[in-house]
Amino acid sequence: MSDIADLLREQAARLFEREIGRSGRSDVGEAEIPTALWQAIDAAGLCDVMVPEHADGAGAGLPEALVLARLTGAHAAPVPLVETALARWIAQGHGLPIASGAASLAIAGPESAGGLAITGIPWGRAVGTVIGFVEGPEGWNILAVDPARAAIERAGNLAGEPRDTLRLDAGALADTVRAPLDPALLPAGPLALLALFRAAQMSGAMATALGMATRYASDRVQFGRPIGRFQAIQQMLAAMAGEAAASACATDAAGLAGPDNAEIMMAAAKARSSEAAGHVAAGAHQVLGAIGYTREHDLHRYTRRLWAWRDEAGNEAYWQSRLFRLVAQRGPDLWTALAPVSRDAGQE
Amino acid sequence: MVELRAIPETPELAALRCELRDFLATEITAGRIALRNNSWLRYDAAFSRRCGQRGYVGMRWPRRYGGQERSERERFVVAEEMLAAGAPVGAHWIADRQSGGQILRFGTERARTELLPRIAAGMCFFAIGMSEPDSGSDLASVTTRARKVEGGWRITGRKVWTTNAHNAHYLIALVRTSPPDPANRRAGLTQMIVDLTAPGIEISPIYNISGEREFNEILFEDCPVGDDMVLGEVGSGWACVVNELALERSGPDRYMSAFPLLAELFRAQISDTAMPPGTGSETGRLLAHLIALRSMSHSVAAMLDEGHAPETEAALVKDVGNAFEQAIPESGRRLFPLSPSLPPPEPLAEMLAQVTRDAPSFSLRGGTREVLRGIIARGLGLR
Repeated sequence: MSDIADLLREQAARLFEREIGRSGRSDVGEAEIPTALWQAIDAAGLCDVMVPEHADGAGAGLPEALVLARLTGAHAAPVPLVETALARWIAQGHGLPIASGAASLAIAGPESAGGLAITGIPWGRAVGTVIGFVEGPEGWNILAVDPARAAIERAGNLAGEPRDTLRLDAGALADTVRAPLDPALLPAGPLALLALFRAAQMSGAMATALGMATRYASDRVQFGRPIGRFQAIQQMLAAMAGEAAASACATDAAGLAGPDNAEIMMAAAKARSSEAAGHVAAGAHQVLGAIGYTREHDLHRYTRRLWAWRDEAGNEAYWQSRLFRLVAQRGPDLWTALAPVSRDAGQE
Repeated sequence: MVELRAIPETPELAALRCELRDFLATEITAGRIALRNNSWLRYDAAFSRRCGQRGYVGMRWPRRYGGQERSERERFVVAEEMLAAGAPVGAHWIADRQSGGQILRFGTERARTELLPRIAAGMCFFAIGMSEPDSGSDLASVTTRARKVEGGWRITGRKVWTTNAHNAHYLIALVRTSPPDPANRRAGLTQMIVDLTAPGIEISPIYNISGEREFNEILFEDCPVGDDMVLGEVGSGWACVVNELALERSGPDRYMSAFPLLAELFRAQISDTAMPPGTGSETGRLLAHLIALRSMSHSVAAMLDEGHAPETEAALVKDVGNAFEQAIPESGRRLFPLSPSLPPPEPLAEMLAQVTRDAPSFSLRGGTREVLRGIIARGLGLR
């Protein structure tokens, strides 16, 4: 892992610990971005982490951005940081305009004569620009949508995070700036990229849920000893650790993949993480018992997000099928399909 | 607990993969090796010697002991390629994976110079002497004992579940060298290298549920071992054996045992036009698990290269890996309901039957699932 990633991890972790503790804990089910937290994040430049240095960003790559995404999950940060960072990077890379402040992105429905609907937009109500991906006959187009020109319907996922719908009429759609997707920038396409970032967020939330459950098991005394002394509890927590580690490693590995391997690795990351999320959330609730099932306890901030995120940008069934098809396209020999090598790799 | 971090595969490692694929393709084309699942238990001395000639055994060890001074990550690549092909690496596997490393770390100079070059040449094979009839997961309860004599020791007792003992030249035995101490159950144990051709040894077969001679029972009766074949200090056997166990848990053999079956399922599925749509997710799930596990195991190999002792992480890889291996035949039978006719009508059915029978051993050998999860729980701070 690079020095940039380590720096970023430290800086962002400190910021989240300080600011979420102070302002962010009333978030669930609320529609607004906590102002102080968001200002601290934007002032620290975290939203420009992927923007190239010549455009005043940090010029960090996918591995570093994934570190940040994992932290937003590990802290259940109630902000569209991942979305804004990706939207700014994609807008900059495609020469599209983007408003200052928070931004978001989502896959859009097909365009029609009547306009365009984009559903499931994270924080759609609270952002200045929505980057929409529209699949057309010639491939993907990227639209820089101004929410002020659209009708907004508010909705939320099961963690209470805003997931809104924007409806553009034909006129607003005609005025919207667009660019064809650059495969050099997004070799795996938009859905796989969104899936990978949700996977990274899930791996962070799983680490926190596992940590909470482990601490609780060490502290909670029943039958005269900490419940973590019981083998049944130990076995459950160990199995959760395995699931969390598999998610973290699959996510990391996808961030390191070259363009030819990117979608396969992103598909694996989301499929594995979405599957792991259910096990870890269920295990954490089992260990924490009734207190973990209350609104008062923090556990639900992580488990409700895990349940929401595992279905967003494609659930495990979707990505398992997609992964199978992607690997199958490489031919009938599974090993060379999974572990491709270029024959001249050693001569670089 | 240290966080596992994925790392990229370097061009040098990719080049090594190419080299292995060429070697294995030649072996297969020439009809020199039989490929199958669980291939790290399959004994083929001639193949092991060819691996030794090419420098694929004892890769990490110093050159003066016959090694190649290569990295654990290179060993990881060799292991993955061998197991992906289903190559019969069983003869040298245990010596390469753990016995050699034990000798290098804890052995006397004589043991190193005498044994390591022969292991690296693919000519000297080892077995594991840990379990006993009354000591399985509770390894500290072993009762096989060694009595001090002039210049060495005499071993009396019984070891069991000893894979390939009937083909191996040596065994590293964990024995009791002083009476049990109720205050410290782990004290008084010592590891020794036993020459399996020495007098006082009787090896008898134990057949597994498939009827194969996979493992053995070994009876020791006053069997001689020289002082220079003791590993580490007398009485320090527990620390030695814990090191040995960590060596055997994180590698690709903990998730690749049933890879040939998975590859066959994959091949059958993409060539079966009658396969209903949507069935890809069953195999796709296994592929996602495999991709994650490869990254985890590679990450532990890098930790070993950096000089860490990733005991918890190794247990994690084995636990997750064994569950994956065991899921392969279960997915297989959901995808291709095969009648359980024996002898089997086709390769897929044969593999499925074979792996179904092998699968229970995956989460038993090298530490049961429950023991591993206990180690992970300790890593989490619960014990």
